[in-house]
Amino acid sequence: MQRYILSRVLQGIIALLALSLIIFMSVHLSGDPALLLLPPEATTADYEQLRENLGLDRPILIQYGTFLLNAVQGDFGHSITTRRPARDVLLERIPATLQLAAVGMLLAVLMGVPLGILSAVKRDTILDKACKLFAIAGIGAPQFWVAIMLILLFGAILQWLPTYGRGGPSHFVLPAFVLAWSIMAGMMRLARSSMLEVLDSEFVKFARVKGLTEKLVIWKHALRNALIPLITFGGISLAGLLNGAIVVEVVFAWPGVGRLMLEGVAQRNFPIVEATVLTSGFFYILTSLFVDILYVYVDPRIRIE
Amino acid sequence: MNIRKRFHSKIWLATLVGVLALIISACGGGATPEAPAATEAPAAAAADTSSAPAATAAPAAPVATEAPAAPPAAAEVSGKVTIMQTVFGTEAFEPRYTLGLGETTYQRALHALLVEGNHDTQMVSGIASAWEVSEDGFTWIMTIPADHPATFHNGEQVTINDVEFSFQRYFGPEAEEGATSTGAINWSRLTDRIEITGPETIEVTHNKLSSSFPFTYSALQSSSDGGSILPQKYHEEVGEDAYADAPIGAGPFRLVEFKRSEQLLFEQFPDYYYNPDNGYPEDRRMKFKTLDMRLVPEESTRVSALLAGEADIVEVTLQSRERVEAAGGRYVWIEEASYTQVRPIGCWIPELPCNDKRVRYALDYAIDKELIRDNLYGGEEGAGLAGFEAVTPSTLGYSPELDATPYDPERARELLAEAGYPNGEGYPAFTLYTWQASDTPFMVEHAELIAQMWQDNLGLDVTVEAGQNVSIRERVRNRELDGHVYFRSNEGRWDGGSLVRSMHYLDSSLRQSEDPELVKIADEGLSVMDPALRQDAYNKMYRASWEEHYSFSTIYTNLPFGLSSRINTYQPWPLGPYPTALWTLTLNQ
Repeated sequence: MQRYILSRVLQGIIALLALSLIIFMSVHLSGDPALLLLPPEATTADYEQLRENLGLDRPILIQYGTFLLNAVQGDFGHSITTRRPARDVLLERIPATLQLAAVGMLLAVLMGVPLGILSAVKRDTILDKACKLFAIAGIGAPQFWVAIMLILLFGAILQWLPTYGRGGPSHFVLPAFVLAWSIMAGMMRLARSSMLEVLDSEFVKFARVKGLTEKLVIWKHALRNALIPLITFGGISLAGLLNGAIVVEVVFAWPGVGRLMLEGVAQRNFPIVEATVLTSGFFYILTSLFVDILYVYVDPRIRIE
Repeated sequence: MNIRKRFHSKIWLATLVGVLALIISACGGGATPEAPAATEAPAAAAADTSSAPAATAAPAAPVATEAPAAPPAAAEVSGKVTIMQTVFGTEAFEPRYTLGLGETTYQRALHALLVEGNHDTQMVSGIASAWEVSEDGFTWIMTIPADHPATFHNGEQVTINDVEFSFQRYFGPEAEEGATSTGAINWSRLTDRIEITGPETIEVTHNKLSSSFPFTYSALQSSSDGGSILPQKYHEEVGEDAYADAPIGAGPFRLVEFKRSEQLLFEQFPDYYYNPDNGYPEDRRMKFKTLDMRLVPEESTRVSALLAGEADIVEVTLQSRERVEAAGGRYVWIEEASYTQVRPIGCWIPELPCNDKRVRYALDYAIDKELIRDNLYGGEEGAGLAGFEAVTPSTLGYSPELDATPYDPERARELLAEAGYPNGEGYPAFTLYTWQASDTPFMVEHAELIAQMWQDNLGLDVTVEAGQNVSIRERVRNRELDGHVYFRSNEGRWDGGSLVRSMHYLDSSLRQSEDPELVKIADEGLSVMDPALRQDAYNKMYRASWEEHYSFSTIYTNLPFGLSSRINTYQPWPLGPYPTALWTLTLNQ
């Protein structure tokens, strides 16, 4: 187990290094940020001075080497627009993203899994069909559109909930739901299909024959075996949420990592882009490692070679 | 079995507690961070009207000198106005660290300016009571009254040392080091020295004649805030980084809360100096207590917030008008907020068709600008045809001779045929490059209409490519797009002198011509220091550019803002792509 974890950590480091190189090069090749910052009336001398001020006049490999060396120490350079350390800017945004991700994930799990199980247990009933419809809508409806419609309905027309921004509990309702709906739908469908498969298996039939209550059969025996695909899906979804949900953060004016990444890209603010993308990569690797370890706990039959 | 069961129960209990803790922590997400810069209310400034600077006419600039109205007593104000912006820019309160990306709204709230402006785009006394230029034209002399009534938000008086300190940081010879503002970099190079030469006199000496200097430190300059007065003592005490988090100024609002990328919360500064008690012609103290600036990038969210009563002034486009008005709100327009420019690239190259002036005119005559204005920008309310690029009716140097050419497809075809391209035959296919701009909506649709008109009226083979501002400009700079055309927009400004440099000066990264005659005319125009002669000098300079037609405009646009039904009156100034003149805003009782 220890060797397995060590090898996964090493793989993760290699992946992060590759990611750093790809993101650094692609950001630098996509355009000169000095040109974005300069007004059209700027002269060549203005351009050169700004490049020097931003440290863009050095050879690209030296820029990458410096970046990498600093990045391992948690220093991603300074934001081109605000001149503040990119790490500080990122750290400011992480709490907002973590909070929204936590509430969104919780909502997705607490609603998606039980409804999926109910759907499987009550197969082909109205409840099952309603859940199916809810899931299809959640997967199919564009997040952007759903967000705008919900803001319009609950914010502007009914005025039950705030239309934007971060604040008290009521501010979480709409963004968390929009964020959670597609994950909830995925979980619901996965839970349903996994449960149906498990409920048809021999050991469940045996448990029923033994005279165990239906509740015990479903919640203790069947669910645990149906959890594997849900954990995989949940892990990937959680990693996605932790990296910020660009659409939701933009529409709800939520000051999270996703919006920061988008702003960074739009402004060619490459220290910010590099910091956010590398942190995203780190979260993905960490989450997938966590999920792999969780497999062993959930299903002892799984043994890692 | 029981032990195992109890163990599992504990796990579930622990999980439940964890989840609850998470929810509670999440729900406390909006917990307001400790407010930086919660400066104490300054002691009421001793308004000694006898010694206060009157709004005297400055020798080198036009000044509005209305007789002061009867001074009203500083009344206690209340009410909150929420403004929603699409960008906050650099979130810096020092002008040298801005990029012209929406910083003006909050910088103008926080800082007092050396020279103020008015609705008629005139420069009037601010912290400086007068300004003039030396005989040789290289030195600007500004008068800062020793007993100026302006105070910073911490109660300290604004002095000539604060002005010198602020100028050194923006215009000084060392200012370009580390600055991100192109204005600061550019002016820093032009400045030889800044010095206090008398108890009330400060002088700025340039190495090149710069007639537009007063404009750059006045409230008329809408794209930067070089004239902001910083508090030297406080700035030096707390240091640059701390000042960035907890700034104070001498402007009409003081900052009470600053959540980066979210909110800037200001409170009215009751001792703001610009009021009739101090001899100024207008009371520019705010008529409401709190200004809440929010960063909301998505328009539909901003409009919903307006409808829900959560916002009062929001950046909008024409599409939202029906929704805003149906809910009792209304639109207000910042006139001449931005302009467009069609620019054939590399026209000094003899082999290119646009090297022939007739071709450039043909391209202009073939565009039905009225159709574009009426169908894309909602008619005369949303856009105008008068003027030439940045030279719109309210700007220095404008005259009707500079208005856009009329739509005349026949004339366009004739000119193109005379240039050797009858019905577009032999004219190489080219691309019209553009990008989505933040100051002008529908740039891509606008470009498509232009391309369609060139195809229909002139038989040209044109493709529209909407790309990224940066990559297009980079390709222009690298001379990869010679022979093509690009279509861009820019914010309006009263003094467009610096833009002329970009058109014709050979060191400009985006020059349009290599015509020494135009460079000479531009140099002459920009060197006229007498304000009474500048209108004509600029007009001559612009007319020379118009004549050559290396570029031309289709329309200028007025920038709409949606106002909530709570707002009673509001009269913004023209030429500023932000909510100007907030002191004119009153709320319904």
